[in-house]
Amino acid sequence: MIQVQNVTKIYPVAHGRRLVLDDASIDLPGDRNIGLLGVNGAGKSTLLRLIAGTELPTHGRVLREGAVSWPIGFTGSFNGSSTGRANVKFIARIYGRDIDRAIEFVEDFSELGPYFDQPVKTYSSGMRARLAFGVSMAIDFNTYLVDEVTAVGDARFAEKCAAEFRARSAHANIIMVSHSAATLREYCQSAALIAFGKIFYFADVEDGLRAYDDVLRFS
Amino acid sequence: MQAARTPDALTVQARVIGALILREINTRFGEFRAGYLWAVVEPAVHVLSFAFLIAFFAHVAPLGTSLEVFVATAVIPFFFWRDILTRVEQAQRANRALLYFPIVKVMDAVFARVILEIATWLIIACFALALLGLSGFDALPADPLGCIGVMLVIGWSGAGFGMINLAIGVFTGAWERVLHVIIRPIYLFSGVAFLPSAMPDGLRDVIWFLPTAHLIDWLRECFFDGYHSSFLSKEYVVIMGVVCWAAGLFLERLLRARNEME
Repeated sequence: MIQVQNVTKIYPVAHGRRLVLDDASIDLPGDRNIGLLGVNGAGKSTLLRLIAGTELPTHGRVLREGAVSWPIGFTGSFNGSSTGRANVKFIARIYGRDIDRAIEFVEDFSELGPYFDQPVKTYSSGMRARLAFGVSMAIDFNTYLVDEVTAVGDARFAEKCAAEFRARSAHANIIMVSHSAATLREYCQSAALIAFGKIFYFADVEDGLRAYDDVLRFS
Repeated sequence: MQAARTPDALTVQARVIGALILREINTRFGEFRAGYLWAVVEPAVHVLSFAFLIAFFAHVAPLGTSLEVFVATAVIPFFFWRDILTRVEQAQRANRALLYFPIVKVMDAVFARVILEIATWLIIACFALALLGLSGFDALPADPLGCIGVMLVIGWSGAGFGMINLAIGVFTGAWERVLHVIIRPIYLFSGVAFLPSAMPDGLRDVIWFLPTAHLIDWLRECFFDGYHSSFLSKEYVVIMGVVCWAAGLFLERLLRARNEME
């Protein structure tokens, strides 16, 4: 369960302030996968970062239950000049996991072959995404925050990730940002829509998608 | 697959700092052991060249038997202080990608750098003194433990100034450049080739405000047998350090939200 309580998020911009979330509150249950919906710039990625704790709310607070991942996306936060292996080592270390087991898992899951021992800057974006997903799977979080899972690249690997998530659904859930209704339908049972600075929760993902269409028509 | 645990905050922080130190060693010194050796030899040689150069132009050592050692007792702490200041002020920018992991905090990066820098400079100092000793100078400190203690104070003081820079650097990069222009002459006035207490009144009153002048004097008190400085104010050093750290930590917290945008 993730509880967003009276969260306001304001970004200072070149001329003034931009209000992204305005005293928004929502409870996101931990027993289902939730898709985050909203028009471009509505604050989907911002909410993901707030939930992760990468950013702090301007006002209000976010309560987390269980281990929550960093926002897993394709941009990645790897050290480009270090190898995939060295990056996995570092991440396993900061999260206090067994390094050898983490490496073994990622080596197998990410299918990078000899590239695992090459600097990450030589990777294609698909390879980076595979490494990012592999590492986050090796840490075994309770809640995975995923930004645009479709970027993982080829369909086969996307299916592998989906299968891995399904296998873990008993003790792990996903909060996901995606622009693709098909992806959201595939992964998520429920949805949260960010609009007008507020967050609305829909137990059924279809209701969320319908409400999102209404918002799109509005704006 | 490994079970998720939620250990207490201090354990997590210690773990993260440890991982950051290892990573810093790898990225800075390269994957080879020789890299760390170079990181020690290079500044030591730099420091000694400076010491010999300055000693060449000066005449009589105010303390001890050789001007080279006297100058080294100023150049080493000053370069150490400046180095840790720079390292801390860049801690955030250099680790931006890592801060993407919510478990890594800016202060973890700062502490990792402080620990690594202090350890490195203690080794550099020993190495430089050993080289001086091998060159036939009397380079043994009178109070080795005291010297190590003062080195820790120097690291803490430099890091405090670095914290303020880190915070101000969020606003403007210009400040950093201005500061480093100021630091360079500070070096000459901090008592590299002279004792501050031997300066004329007017000049000494100005020098008094330089924390580095006090830190160098403090180190010399521990290094040279029987030297008691009339200039040194340990209170000033400690108060400046506390003020810098408090202001730096406060500003860092205050500006964290602004920082996220960059």
